Formats: sequence, structure tokens, C-alpha cells
Amino acid sequence: MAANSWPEQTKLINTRIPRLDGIAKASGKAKYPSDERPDGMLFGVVLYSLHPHARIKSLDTTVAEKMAGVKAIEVIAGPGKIVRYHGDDIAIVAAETEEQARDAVRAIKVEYEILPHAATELQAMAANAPEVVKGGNVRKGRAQITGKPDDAFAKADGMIEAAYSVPVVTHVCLETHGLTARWDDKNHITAWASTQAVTATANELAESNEIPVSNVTVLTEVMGGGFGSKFGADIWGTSAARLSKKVNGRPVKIFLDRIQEHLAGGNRPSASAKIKLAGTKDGKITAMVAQTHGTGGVARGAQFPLPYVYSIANFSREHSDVFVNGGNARAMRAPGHPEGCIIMESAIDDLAAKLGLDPVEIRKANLAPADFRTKIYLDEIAIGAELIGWKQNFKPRGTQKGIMRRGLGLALHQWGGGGANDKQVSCTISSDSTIELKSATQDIGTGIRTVLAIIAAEVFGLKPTDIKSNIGNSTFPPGQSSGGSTTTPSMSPPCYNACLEARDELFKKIAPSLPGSPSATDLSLADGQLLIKGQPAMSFKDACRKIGMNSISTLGKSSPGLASNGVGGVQFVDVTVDTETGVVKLNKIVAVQDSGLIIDKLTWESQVLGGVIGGLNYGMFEERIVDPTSGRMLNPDMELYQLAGASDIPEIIVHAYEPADQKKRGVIGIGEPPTIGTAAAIGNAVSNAIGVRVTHWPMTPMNVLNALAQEGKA
Amino acid sequence: MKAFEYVGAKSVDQAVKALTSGSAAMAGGTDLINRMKDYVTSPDRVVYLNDVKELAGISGDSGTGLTILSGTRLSDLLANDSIKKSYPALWQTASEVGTPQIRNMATIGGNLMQHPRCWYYRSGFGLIPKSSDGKHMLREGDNRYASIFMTDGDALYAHPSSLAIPLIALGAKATLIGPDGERTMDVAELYKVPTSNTESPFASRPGEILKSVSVPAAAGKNGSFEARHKQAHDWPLVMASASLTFSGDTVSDARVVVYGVAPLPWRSKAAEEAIKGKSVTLDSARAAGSAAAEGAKPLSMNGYKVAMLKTVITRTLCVTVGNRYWEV
Amino acid sequence: MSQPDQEPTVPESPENVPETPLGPMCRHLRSKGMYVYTDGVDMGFDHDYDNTIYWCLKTMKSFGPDDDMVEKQSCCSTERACYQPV
Repeated sequence: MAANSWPEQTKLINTRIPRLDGIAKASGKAKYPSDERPDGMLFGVVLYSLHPHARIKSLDTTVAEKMAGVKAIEVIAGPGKIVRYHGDDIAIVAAETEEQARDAVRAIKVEYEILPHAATELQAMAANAPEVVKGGNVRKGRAQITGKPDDAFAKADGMIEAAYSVPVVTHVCLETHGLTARWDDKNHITAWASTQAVTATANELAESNEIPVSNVTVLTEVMGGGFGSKFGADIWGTSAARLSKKVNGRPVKIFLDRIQEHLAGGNRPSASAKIKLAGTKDGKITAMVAQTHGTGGVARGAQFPLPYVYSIANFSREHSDVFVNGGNARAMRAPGHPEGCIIMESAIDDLAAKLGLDPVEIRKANLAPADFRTKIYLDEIAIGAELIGWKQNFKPRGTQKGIMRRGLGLALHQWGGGGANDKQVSCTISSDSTIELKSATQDIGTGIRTVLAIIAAEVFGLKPTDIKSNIGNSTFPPGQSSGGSTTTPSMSPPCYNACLEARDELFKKIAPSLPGSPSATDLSLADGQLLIKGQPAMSFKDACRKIGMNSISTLGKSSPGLASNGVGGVQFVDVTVDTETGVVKLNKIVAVQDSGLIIDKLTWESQVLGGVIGGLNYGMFEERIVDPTSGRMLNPDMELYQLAGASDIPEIIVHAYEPADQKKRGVIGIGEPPTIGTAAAIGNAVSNAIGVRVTHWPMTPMNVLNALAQEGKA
Repeated sequence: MKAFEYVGAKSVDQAVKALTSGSAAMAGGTDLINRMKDYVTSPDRVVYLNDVKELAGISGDSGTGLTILSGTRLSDLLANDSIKKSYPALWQTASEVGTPQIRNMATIGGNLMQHPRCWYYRSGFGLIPKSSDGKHMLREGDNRYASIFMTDGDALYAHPSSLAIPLIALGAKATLIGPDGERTMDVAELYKVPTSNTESPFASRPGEILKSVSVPAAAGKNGSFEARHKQAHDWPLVMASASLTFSGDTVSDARVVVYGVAPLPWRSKAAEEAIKGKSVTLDSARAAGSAAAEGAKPLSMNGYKVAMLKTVITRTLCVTVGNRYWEV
Repeated sequence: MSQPDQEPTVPESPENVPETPLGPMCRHLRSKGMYVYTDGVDMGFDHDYDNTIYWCLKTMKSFGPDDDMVEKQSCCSTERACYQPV
């Protein structure tokens, strides 16, 4: 009997419960896929192109093949093939040690025909630019036109005309991309993969090796970050499997090094906009015209939503994807949304300043009346404003004179976060009282292993640590790939149903053997006890002994009413800007987030914190820097590719917006939304502080000083 | 990295003998190992100096002057009360290097002899990165972190050692030791500006290692100020140190040295001249900052460093006399 | 991210052009969304914006075996040389 709502009263659900694998992860005991060392493992190292654009004329592996420890070489881009970016794969060497593989990679002789490159957007958009892809480097998308923007501009009380841009940022997963593949026999592959989709990885390994998918086992016990960039087996995974086959099944490990991770592990496309925004004195936005572009390297993906969040009756927008000789974009935490949020929220803030309006009020005036989120936004804005001290601390833009200037900013965001309805979780109860959950999903960091255990423990009246919550295995019942903030809403409902059904089976099975022969409906579970008509009768453990030799096993499916879709959210930022050095100091960030019913408030909060920290990196530090002459990325490391350290992270206040009507919505995913608005809100706070708009992200001293100099105020 | 021979030296003598052509000396390893991993430096032999006991330690005091042996860890330098009290320019700068982990490994010698962080250099294009058609890649490319002085020349990177800045301001001497014995020079003289990629940016001869730096007896006041992007683990964008002696309230002598603006530690004579004969006030410090910026020729992207330089000089001078005006 | 001095040459502006209906997709076409939103591959594309990033299962890259870009339009066209039906 599948459930259509979550229980009203809960002991565990909606409380703060530590991750089951938290201590193991924090102490280093947890074994990540890249930590695995199956017997006989070889190390694979990738030879990649230093040239942004070249044709391989010849490739000679004879010297490398004979080098110590070298067991096999896989050529990816042989003679005649084109490499399209710094970091594009050419060949992979498998050797006994990583050092031997690295030495052999350098011994592969490659002769290149260097082709002209367009590694930056400026180069790619120039007249007579070398073609990165057939048909030109600038691909215009469908234009959006709504209403009559020209008329609306003519009638507006005020307007702004501005340009904003944010650079490409790379994925920088702490655990790099890769997997270790082993041919177990002629027909079976086992892979230890750092992936956010064990089933997708299994499918791709099966397909590329032409074996049935049932013969592939992909294992991801834990993993070190994916953010949207780790779907599928990747060229490195399929190559590891091919190399393993060449060496009679010895496992081959291919995980990217840090440089390659930056170059080829995926990135968030850049975004640039020329935008006009017009409004009335009372703060109603009447028109928007925008031309935008961005690059996803040698792939599309640079589109983003605009207008964003706000309702604008008259607008037109044209967007172009620009192709450059650079590593291609991959989905990154809320693809497109942080970009759209930066452009929209900057423009609305600049318009507010122009019209002399409070940034909070102009936002409230432009929410879509028909959108269910509007009421949520209004509540969240009020809560966030209170937490940041907007009333006491906000000063209108341009009113500060000192060296150190404090500013406040905010941004709104939105996301879906609904689940898939075709996923399954199995629940098995054995007579030794083991409760095991299984599903082929994986924990990209959301805490899904713990979430499933919490749901089971709630149903069985146990502790989450009593539950064996087994995920990260592609041979388990179909589980959700972790993308689009869909894991928790996809997996919680089938888990709940599996547990309810297993519990009912248990009751049915043991009722006849219980004292007084109660009916199954007389039984309940709480605090580790079996209750008969509400009275504790025996321990759960003793009750399970009555199951006998054959375990109880159920396969739970999704049912309506347990999950929902669509969230809002608002973030406020408090900064201090040193106007003489351009250094921005974050004082405080407030994140107010709705997401239906929160299963585990602790992992939920951790998700929001992670999102905010990712967002503040986007706002403050990150930038892929490419040399126009060589076409090479200049900062593929963790030194000059800047990321926040502990002391760069301010106080972050996370507020869960969850009145009763939110909880009734059921579970909604939270991975993406809290990373969207941070960078936009930071930009707005900086502009509020210094009185001028910093038009280029991130908020580096260079960009801030340049903005001040532009205005003649430095 | 390229396979190499390893020599664990136990004495200076052993180290110097082992440092034959194609060898590299390694102390904390926080720079060399990264260069080796990136194939920027590929020595045949690495001579490890960390176990050379006679290369570590601090002797003397602020009354007579200090001698800091090159193998002294930055964390040990920071634990020295005399340095903290009498040479705040040095202490402050050391406290801002890297991370606690790096300061526990990195040595003062390694800091002074580190190679430039320039991303063209670290990408393997050399200190004077030129394309095959002769284009200067740093001049034409992303030069946000590059120099704003001496930019008529070809060495456009910014000098990497932040500790050289206070040491030069304090008038410290460096002693090198090599096959031909010891020689002592001003710390500033450790460095030179290469005119080609085959030239070294150091004045040390093959086989020579830095043995020690000696800081003269403390006189007057000294201080440093650093402008950096990140609070955690970052290099300064621009920083400066000043050492001032006074006659009454007025500055009788000044040494002002700047980081991040030239391929050498940049001695700002203009700032020194501007502050001499004046008492250090916000106005006189600002005038010195403006004087320091004169003659700067920024590249295409690093004009912001001119504004930053003015501020850093101003604040360094003010900090030296205990005025942290910007914090109010 | 600065703007180029002159406007780039671009194809004629396809303002308000209805989207061309797509043919059946090549069996080697992949995107993240296909693995996540399992209600079926979203081939309607009636969005204000589409930022899907595709790869080819044959090459595991954003370029296909024919060295041309992997895109929904061309990978849903039986005319592409490397096209293979599901």
C-alpha cells in the first residue's frame, strides 16, 4: 500500500542526524574510488595536447612501449585526428607505477600540424577567426520576444544600459574524474568509479565494450564531488576498460591529475550581457532588451535563463553560443542559473539605484503574481532582511565616503528539484534483524545514504545506524542519477514505500506466532520494540527471529504525494570593501531556502552551506585564464586558480523556510538552488558599498579597482 | 617528474660537494617539487638540505643584529620573540606566507631563492616567454600579476620572494657558500634580471647555496603592509616594507622596498626621498605613495597595481609608526 | 570578456522562427538530462533556453566520429554520416 503522504508525527524525519559515513569521511577512513587498489592494478596516465588546435600528423609509441613497466598503450587521437583544446586527449599509457606511466607518456613522439586557434571569446568572435566548428564560431539561438519593449522603453520613468560578464569557471572536483576498470573474466567488468551516476557509467562501459549491461558492476561507495560533471564513463573510463582488456584483465586506474581536471573535467560557461532595463517610479520593471553570449568551449551549453525570476511584460533577448578552442562545458550545479541570476540581479539593482528605490522593494514589486513562489519569496525576503539587518544597515548606493565601505546586497533564485518517479529501493528484513536497503543511486554529497536510513529507521522504530543503507552499486535496483537536485526526491518515496511494505509483511508473517495471536493491524514498532495494541511486547530483534529462514524483501516504488517540484530562495550578503586596495571582505551571508519537507536537517544545511561556498567562490575568486597567444590555460592548479580557504569564508546563516504548508509538499531536492544567488548578491553588495557597479566577475581587487577608476573615484 | 638521484646531505660541506652541474638544492621543497612535477625544473640530482643541522637556527639579538641560517623554518622565525618585537616588517611578512603547513616546511633560504610564480614560466615558456614569431606572450597576454616597473625590458614577471622585501629594507646581508668558500653581499644583490631564458635570475654561482642572512641591529622603526586577494593561502599582489630612522619626529633615513611591481625587489627611492625630512603623517605618507608610483609603466592589464602601489606605500609608512588609519 | 571591436559575422537572425521538428535521435547521442529526467529524452525543446551539453558514445567527446560537433539537430538527422538509429 504505497503511501501518499509522510507521517505527521516523526521522531527522526525533519531532525538533525549526522551522516552515517561522516566520521569515516572526515577521518580519512572512507575509501574513495580513487583510493581503490585492486590486486595487480596498473596506473594509466593520459597524454594530452598542449596545443589548442592541431592535427596529429604522426604518433610513434615504439619507444614508450619498450619502457620499464609499460604494459599497454591506447591511442585516442591517432594520425589525421584533430585535437581541439589544451588538454584534449591523445593517448593513454598503462604501466606498473604512475611514475613509469608518466615517463612513457613523455616518450610518445607526436608530430603536430599546428592549426590556427581561437582560444578566447575575443579571438573566436573576431572577423576571419579560425573556425572552431564548422559553420562558424558564433551560433545564434532563437530570439525571445514578448510584448512591445520599444514602446515600453519610450514610456518608462527611468532606464539603465549596462554590460556585465562572468568568466568560465572550471569544475575542480576534489576527487578528479576517473575510474579503475577490471575485466573479471572475458565477459564481465568491475569498475570503481567516481561518478554521480553508477547506472549511466555501467551502461556506457557495457555499450563501448559490447557486453551486456548486466555484466558490468560499477561501484561508488563514496565519491569526492561531481557537481554535474561526472555522468557517464567518459573517455578515460572507456579507455581504462579497453586497456584492462589488453592486459588480460589487470585493473587499470585512470584518474585525471589536477591540471587535466581543470582542462578537461568540465566547466561552467562564461556569460556576457549587454542589457537595457526600464521601469516606473514605483518600481515596476516595464521592459528589458538583452544581447547575451557565452562560451562552453568546444561545446554548446552557454545559454542561460533571462529574464530570471522576475516578471517582465515586454522584453526581447538574443543569445549566441560562442565556440572557442577550450575544454568543453559540462553541467555545473544549476546550469545556467547563476549566470542568469548575475545578469538579472545586477540589472535590477542598477535600475533600483537609478530610480532611487530600495533594492528589496523593487524585487518585491516585480514577482510574478501567478507564480506559487511569489508568496514564498515575500516571506523569505522578510526573513532574510531581518537576519542581515537590512533596515538598520542598508545605505543607498553612492552615499558612503570612507575608505572602508560596507554594503548589502541580495539576489533571488529558483529551481525545480523534483524527482523521477520510476526509481526503486529494496528493503530486506532478515531473521537476525538486519534491515538492508539497496538502490543503484549514489551519494554525490547530498547525504542520500543517511536519508534512506532515516526513513527506514522512522518506519521500523530504530536508529539510522541500525540500517544497512547500501547504495553506489549499479547492479542494485534502479536508482537515480544525481543531477538536477533529483536524488532525494526520487529516492525517498520508493524507500518509504519499500519500508512500509516490508514492515507490513513482517507484521503479517509474525502475528500468528505472537502471544494472544494478535492481528497484523494490532502491531506497531517504536524505540526498538514490537508493540501489540500499543504495549511493548518484545524487542525488534526478538520479533525478527520469528521471521524464520526466508527473509522478507520488498521493492518499493514511487507514489504520488511524497515529493514535489519547484523552489525559490533568497540570499543576502554583507561585505566590506577596501576602496584603496579593491579587496572585498565578506562579512556575512544569509541563505533562506525553501524545499518542501526536509528529511535530515543537518545534511540539508550542509548542502546549503556547500552551495553558498561554491557560489562565493564564483563571486569572489574563480576564473579560467587562457593565454591568447598559446591558447593554453594559465592557471590549471589550485594556487593561481583561486578558491576560498577557511579564512575567506564568512559567517553563513542558513535558514530553512518550512512552514506547515511547505512540509506538506513532500521532498524536493536542494543540491542546486543554494549556489545560484550568492555571486549575484555579492556583486550587488560590492556595488552598494562602493557606489559603482563592478561589471566583471569575480570581485577581485583588479576588477574592483578598475571599476572605481572607471568612475574616476579611485 | 624526471627521475633523479637523491643526496641527503648531513653537512654544508657534503651539500656543496654534491651540488655538481645539473643538481638542485632542496630545503622545504615547497617550490622545487612543484617545479619538478611541472617539468619546469628537471634536475639530475636533488641535494636535500633539511638534515644539515648547521644550516638551521637564529642567533644574536636585536641589539647586535640577528643571523638567520638559511634552513630556518618560517614557523621558527615566527616563534622568535626578538624578531616579532624588533623586526615587525620581517615577522609580519613571514606570517602572511602560504599556509601554516607551508610555513612549517618552508625555509627562509627557500623563500629567498624561490623561482617566479609567473604563470608563463610555470607553464614552461621561460621567464621571458616569447612565441615562435617573437611575440612577448606576457606583454601581449594575461599580465594582471606582472610588473609595472622596468617594463621596457623583457623580464616582465614580478619577483616572487616576499621575505626579500623586509630583509632589504632592513639592510640585511646574505652569505652564500660554495666550492670557493663564502661570500657576503646585500640581499638585493642575490637577484638579477635575466635577458634570456638561459640566464638565471639569481647571482649565485653553480654549486653555491645560501647559508644565512644577517639583519643589522634594530634601529628606528620598521613595518610591512600587504595587499592580497584572498585571506587564506595567497601571494601578495603588492606589498612593501619600510625601515625608518628618526631624528626627533622627522625621518632622517628611509628604506622602502616593494613587492609585486618589478622583476626584482623594488627599492622605491622616490618614496624614500619623499618621506625623508618629514614626520610620518597620512599626508606625507600619501605623498610618498604618489611619488613611488611615478614612472610606473603598467602593462595592458595591471594598471590597477599603480593605485595599489600608492596605497601600499602609504599604509606601510603609516604602519611603521603605528598608524592604521584605514581601519577606522 | 570584452566585446569585439566589430560585430561578429553571424547567421541571419532567426527571430521568432519556430523550432524545426527533430528526427529520431542517434543511438549514440547522450546528455546528462537523459540519465536524470527519465520520463524520456526531452525532445520537445520548447524552452526559453536550452543549454544541454551533448556527447557521442562512439567518441566519448563533444565531437562525433565524423569530426563534427555533437548537437541535437545534426544528431537527430539521419543524413549525418555517422548516424545510427536506436
